[in-house]
Amino acid sequence: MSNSIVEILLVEDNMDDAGLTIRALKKNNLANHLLHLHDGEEALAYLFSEPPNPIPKLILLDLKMPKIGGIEVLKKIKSDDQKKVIPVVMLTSSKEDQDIVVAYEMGANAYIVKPVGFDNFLTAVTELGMFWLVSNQSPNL
Amino acid sequence: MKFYINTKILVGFAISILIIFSLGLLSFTYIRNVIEIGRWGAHARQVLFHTEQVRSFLMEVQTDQLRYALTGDSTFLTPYPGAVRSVRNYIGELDSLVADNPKQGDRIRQLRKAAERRIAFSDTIIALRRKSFENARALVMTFQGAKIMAAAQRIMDEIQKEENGLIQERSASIGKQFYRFAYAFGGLLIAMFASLVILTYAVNASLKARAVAEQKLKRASDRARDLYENAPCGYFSVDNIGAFENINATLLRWLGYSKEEIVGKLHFTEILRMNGGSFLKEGLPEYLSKGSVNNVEAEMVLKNNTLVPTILNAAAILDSSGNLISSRCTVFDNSERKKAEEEVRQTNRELESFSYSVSHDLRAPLRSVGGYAQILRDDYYDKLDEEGKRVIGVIINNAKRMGRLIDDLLAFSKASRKEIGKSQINMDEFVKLILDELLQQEGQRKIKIDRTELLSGAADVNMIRQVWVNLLSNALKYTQKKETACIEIGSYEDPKEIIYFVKDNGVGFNMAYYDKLFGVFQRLHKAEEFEGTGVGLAFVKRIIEKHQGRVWAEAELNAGATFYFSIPKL
Repeated sequence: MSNSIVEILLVEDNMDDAGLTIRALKKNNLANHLLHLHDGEEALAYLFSEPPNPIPKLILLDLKMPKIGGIEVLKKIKSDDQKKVIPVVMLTSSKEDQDIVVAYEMGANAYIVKPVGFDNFLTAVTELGMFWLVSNQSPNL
Repeated sequence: MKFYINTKILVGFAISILIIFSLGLLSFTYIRNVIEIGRWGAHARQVLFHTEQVRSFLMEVQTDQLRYALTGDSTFLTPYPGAVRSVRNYIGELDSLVADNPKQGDRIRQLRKAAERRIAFSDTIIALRRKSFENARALVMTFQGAKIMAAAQRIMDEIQKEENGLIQERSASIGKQFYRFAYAFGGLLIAMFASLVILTYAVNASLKARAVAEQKLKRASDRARDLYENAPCGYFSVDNIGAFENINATLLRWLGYSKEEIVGKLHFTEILRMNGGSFLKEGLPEYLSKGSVNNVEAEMVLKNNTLVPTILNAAAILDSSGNLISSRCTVFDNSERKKAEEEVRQTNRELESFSYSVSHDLRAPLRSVGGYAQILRDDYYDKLDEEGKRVIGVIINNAKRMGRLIDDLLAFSKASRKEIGKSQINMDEFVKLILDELLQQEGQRKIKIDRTELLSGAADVNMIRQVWVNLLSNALKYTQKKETACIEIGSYEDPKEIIYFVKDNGVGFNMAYYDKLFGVFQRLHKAEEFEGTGVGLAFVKRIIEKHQGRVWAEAELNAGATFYFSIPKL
């Protein structure tokens, strides 16, 4: 934890995908206070540690991860009175309807299908970061 | 009274009885005639006998008188009064014997006169002799007595002649009558014999035919019974309240019960469970009004309480006022199909999880390949030589292409699994919107669209949109190299379906490869010539097949292609 301020918490097991995401955010100067965690277990450990870690303004959560998956992490966040106000954006490779439905039922704030083309990926991540960090008014925690 | 014998035999009997009765009547008549005539013959002989008696006693009278006259010995007169009495008696009897014959009656009267005169003459002689021989002799010598006797003899001869004539006549007649009787009676015997022979033969033939028919009937009924009992499906019938009336061997074998445990003891709902038992409440009125239920899924409860899925059919037997008398039912073992259905569902689930994995796990590395190649091009472009720049372009393009392939494939497999929901679509407006959208993406090309107003049809909106997009995109794509692209869109109908078509003047294709046209990943053009993943037409075909429609095409290489699809009318 080099920085005590965490704006974006990226939970992504695929290092290559994480690299692309971080790079896209960096291009728009949004990755200055970004923390990358590698799976659901790490994410839960960070979010529910004692003493508490800095609370992020946005969580980018990959759906499919080993050990503890994105849906389970989402469920834990949204069932915690304090943490449930943190916007959570699901990132996934899947266009499967069932995943989308489950994610929204669990209270996900957005659902982004990671495009294969980098151009599209860049656009998607940029729009995402801009909306949640710049445009959207989050509650003060 | 009902006759069970053949009509022909019955008629034969009647005719035989008639013939035998007629011949019997005839025989009876003839034999009666013979007896009658015989009786008359005896009568005539009696007349002859009596006449002969009269003759002999009259002779006695004459002889006694003569002997006395000659001898004067009164001993000779002893039989005289008896002879006179006999003559009178026999004449009296003759008179009554010939009462029916007036001619003979006359003769008898003459005979009586002659006899009385002869007796009177003898009495006179006897009286004279008592006084004087001479006087008596003188009177005898007058031969008066002989004359009277001769007259009496003549009369008696006539009487006898008449009776003999009658006897002769009658014996001739009796012969004739007897022959007639013999013929009639012989005929009767022959007729009876012939009747018996013919009728015995006919009855035998009739019985034989009946026995053969019965045997045939028995064989047919045995076959029917065998079919009922051992057919490869269950048969049973229940009465108006649903209690078992009959059940076949196949079903009993399946169930593990004996017939005695079922018939008259169990209700069919104890063996077959339908829709959680709601059939009796909800299905019964429909069953009664329609008279049958078909292909109802039911669970069969075996004796050992195992459940077996079955298909049940029932047909109602109603009386004239529409009340249920009984039901005939068939049961088919459905476990194989259920198992197959379960296997299909399992396969579908596996396929679903497979495509889920594909969409996640195949796309992730691809994203890295494409993404990092792009980073390389964006950030390190200056450091690459010409060949390096070309290679990086190839990597990026192919990664994109691979992404599209995966997307198309997933969309295709999703469309295959998805149920369609039909609604009536104003196809003309619908296609116009799609076409406008597609034309916007086209550059400065000359495109001539010839669209006649399209017939409306019922289809799944999203799926049919995909069909039009694919077909119209293809038409636009394969006319790229024409100076002026001509695309014709139209529709027509036949009694069962509506047919839509898209015709272009593009590169077309060789009909020799028609078989490959609608296959997945099958392409008839090089990727460098025309972009595409080879899923589009397979997609179209799958969607139209889901609508129970047909897809086909006609084309000529370098002379355009026409794609047709049909959707059934509602």
